[in-house]
Amino acid sequence: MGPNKMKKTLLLFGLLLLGCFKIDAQSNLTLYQSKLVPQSTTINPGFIPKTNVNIGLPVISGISFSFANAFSFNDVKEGIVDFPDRLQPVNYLTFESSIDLLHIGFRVKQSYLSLSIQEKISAVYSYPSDLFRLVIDGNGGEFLGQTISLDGFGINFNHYREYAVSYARPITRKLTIGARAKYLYGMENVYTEQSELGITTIDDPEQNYPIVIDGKAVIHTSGINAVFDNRISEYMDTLSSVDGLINYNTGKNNHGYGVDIGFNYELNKRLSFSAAINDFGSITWNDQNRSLKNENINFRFEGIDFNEFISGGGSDTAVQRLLDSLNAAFALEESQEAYTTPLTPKVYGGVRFNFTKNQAIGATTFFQFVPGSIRPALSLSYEINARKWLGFTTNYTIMSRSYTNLGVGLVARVRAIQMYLLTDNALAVMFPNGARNTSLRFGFNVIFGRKESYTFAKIRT
Amino acid sequence: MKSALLKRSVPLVVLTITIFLLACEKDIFNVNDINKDGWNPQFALPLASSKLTISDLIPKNETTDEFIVVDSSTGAISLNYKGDIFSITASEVAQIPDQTETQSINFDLDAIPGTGVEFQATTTKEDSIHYNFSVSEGVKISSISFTQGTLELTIGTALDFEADINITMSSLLKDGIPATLNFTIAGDGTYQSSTQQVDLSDYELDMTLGQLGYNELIIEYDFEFTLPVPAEGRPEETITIDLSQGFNNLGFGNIVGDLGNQVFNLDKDSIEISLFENTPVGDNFDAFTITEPAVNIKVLSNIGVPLGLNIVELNSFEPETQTNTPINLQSNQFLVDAPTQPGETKESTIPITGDNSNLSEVLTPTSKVITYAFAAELNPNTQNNNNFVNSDASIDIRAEIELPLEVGINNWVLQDTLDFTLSAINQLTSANLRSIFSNGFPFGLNVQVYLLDSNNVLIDSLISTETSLLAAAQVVNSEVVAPTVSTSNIGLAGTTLASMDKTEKLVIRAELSTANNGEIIKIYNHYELGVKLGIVAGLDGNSLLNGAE
Repeated sequence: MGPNKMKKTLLLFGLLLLGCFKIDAQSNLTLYQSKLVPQSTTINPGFIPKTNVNIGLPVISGISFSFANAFSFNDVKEGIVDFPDRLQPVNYLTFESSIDLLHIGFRVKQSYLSLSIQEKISAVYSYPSDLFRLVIDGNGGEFLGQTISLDGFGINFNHYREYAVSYARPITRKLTIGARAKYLYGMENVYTEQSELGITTIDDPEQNYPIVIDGKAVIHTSGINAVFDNRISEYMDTLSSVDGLINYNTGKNNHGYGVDIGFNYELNKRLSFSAAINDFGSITWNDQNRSLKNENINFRFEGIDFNEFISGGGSDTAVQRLLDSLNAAFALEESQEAYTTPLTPKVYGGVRFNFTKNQAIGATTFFQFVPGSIRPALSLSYEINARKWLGFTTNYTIMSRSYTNLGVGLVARVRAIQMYLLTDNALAVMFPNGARNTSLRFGFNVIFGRKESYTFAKIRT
Repeated sequence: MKSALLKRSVPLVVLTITIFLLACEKDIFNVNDINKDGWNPQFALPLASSKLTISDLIPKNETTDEFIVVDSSTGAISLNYKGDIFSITASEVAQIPDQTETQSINFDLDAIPGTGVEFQATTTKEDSIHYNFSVSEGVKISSISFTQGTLELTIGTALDFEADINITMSSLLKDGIPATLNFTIAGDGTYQSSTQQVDLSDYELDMTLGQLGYNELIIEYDFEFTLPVPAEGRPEETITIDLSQGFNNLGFGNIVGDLGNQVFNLDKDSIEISLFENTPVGDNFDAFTITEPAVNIKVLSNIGVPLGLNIVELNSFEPETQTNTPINLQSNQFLVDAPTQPGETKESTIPITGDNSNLSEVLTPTSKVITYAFAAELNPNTQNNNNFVNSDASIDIRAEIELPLEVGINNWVLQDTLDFTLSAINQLTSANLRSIFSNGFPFGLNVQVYLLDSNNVLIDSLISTETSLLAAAQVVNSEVVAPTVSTSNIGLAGTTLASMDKTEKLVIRAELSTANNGEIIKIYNHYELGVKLGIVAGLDGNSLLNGAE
């Protein structure tokens, strides 16, 4: 294996190891429940805002960050020995961020039409619980003779731009449906299609605890050749030119499509139901691809060979020989093939009860479909329109087996300018040791609406 | 109700936010807060896996002090130890010192041809002189070819008339042409001298042309002079000419002749037998036999001089007790053949074995060092030798100990003391060392490891009983027929690990025996030892995490 190939291998496994520091996916539950914010229509295209015209200020109309992990620091603190038992076989750390580059929505008679452009970045790291068991229990205890499964170790990184057109209209007096069509322009991607790795320490009285590593890995990348080739500074120089910037933003041959659909059913003025299915779609990556594959990783280590020392090579030679063997076993076959990555579909379902015209309670369920698992969440919310210029939302959410998620939302309006600040877990700021996830979304909108725009329903109280 | 609720809402939210801010955690992600109770990970690691032959352990390279020799036809092995080389160089054998000698030539003018008024104004006189070349007593040089040096000739005389002196040295040739020098003396009645030099590089000096037939240099001269015609006739006068020769900074290419009887007393030297260095003093074996050991004295000579080698001293020496055991020889004088012609190299071996000495009895594991001293004598028994020596030639003498690995050993004790510190030992809660030997050698090994504190006081041992770590291979008719696999698990825990924390020295003691309680068995190069080592180490997770901070 040449130095470049070795570097790529190290880079690849470095990327995999980054999974240890991951963050969890954005659920946007608070946004879903916040009827006062026009961007809630981006979660459920079946929602129609109360306001007539909503213009998101470029870039600052919506900026969001979120992260979630399968465990918090407190999970470790409670007892490091039992900590891996609190994990699933494969766990996720997700980071997501989005920036609204453009958001315009307006009513056309009873319908609502919106256009939006969003920059989206997501990174999902997956890591097996056995990794922690290996560190905490070691391979010489209960794992002796067993296979430590590092299957599912991987990273999925996605950076793309979403151009969307959304349309919603009442079908009946009670039912509103909506859909959003999205064109997706892919920029960078890392996609772990397959990741299997097993470490077995053989327990045989006639052997000296040899370690066998086997597995397979198929990882696709797009747009990060500069990282592989250690040419990041040159690449950034290219982007600093006008032509380079235009080519980066429009010239990549990575295209995808997606669709969101949703509905809102108002049973009466107090009670409504809603649901949305988002992010059905995929992106096909064609440009600057580099796929790395080894479908037969097989490495056996039985210890160093004394002859390395006897021949005068010493420990350096022995270590080098071991590294060479590892490099050979983990050598990755490289190709430039096109590949397709799916989006991460999400399903929302909600019920809402307006017990006054300015106060509502609700319950929302959320499911995110990641490869191999479904991550659910359940949220109970309370929303109050305290003043014509001020509204609050708060919710309690159970998510990622975490039971301490208190969401908070603040929506304020000064004439036509609306400011909002939402988080799915405010407790994370105050109690980071116990936080498994949190999010923050804020932005400014210009809104024009009807007088009743700041009431939830025409209810006499 | 509505307005009251709304009025209460804003302060409630403000209060909630205030409480949240005040309730913020102060101690964030503090590793010390982690409950580490019961965290004792156990890691298993294969340490080593090797297959070793004697060739892997001891080099075949004969340039090292310790090496093996493998019989290519049988694969039998002998273990060899080399001593230092004593070199007697050509410059020591044939020393040619600088030479200086002056002779005076006297002759009467009467002797010059012509008489009376017929006396010629210009005439000549030819003659020769012999110089003796000064060398050591008994050395008779026939010829020398020079690589460097200078011959300096000085003519001194008090003539009162002009003279030319032509010198020819027919015994000093370069490419067959004699060396010549020409002097002119102006002649004003005062003593005048003139000096000229010959660069001796590539000249050959034939010293056999004189009366002795050796060590003589012949200088022929031709004296030509011009006299004023005397009115009163031939002067009655004796002319004296001093002729001085000096050979300086001589370097020879080769010398032929008789280099005489010379004796070189070589420095005392020794050879350490590292095979025995870890044998403790005292009761260290029940039986130990090496078949046909030898001390071989090897002589490599390209000097054409017969050599006599006298073994002045040969002992087995135990350094710790300072015990010398003489190796008695039937005869301590040996003759070594010399090359018969220039360019030839003669290699000779003088074997000292059980046949001509008591070596077999003396050579045991207590023979940690063999000491020896030699005297080398040139031309020991002959007169009128026909020796030759080139300037780059030498006589190299070296002793070698040859131990054929055909041995019978019973309970040979080996012991070594090592400094020992293991700083991370307190992070270990247990350790189980597993060894798996597939022994294709006809040796078995029992091992114990003792732990000593800083005062060399025994505090513990690692192995509960003297375990046979390595059982000998299966031997039939003195040959290995199958390896024997020995698996050992050495467990360390509790007090032993605590003892290791205080240990500063390890004493490793082993007992080695050949198969079947000391049977004499030959070791072959294809015999192989398979070694596999592995460990399961229990670690104290608490100290690990604290160490990581």
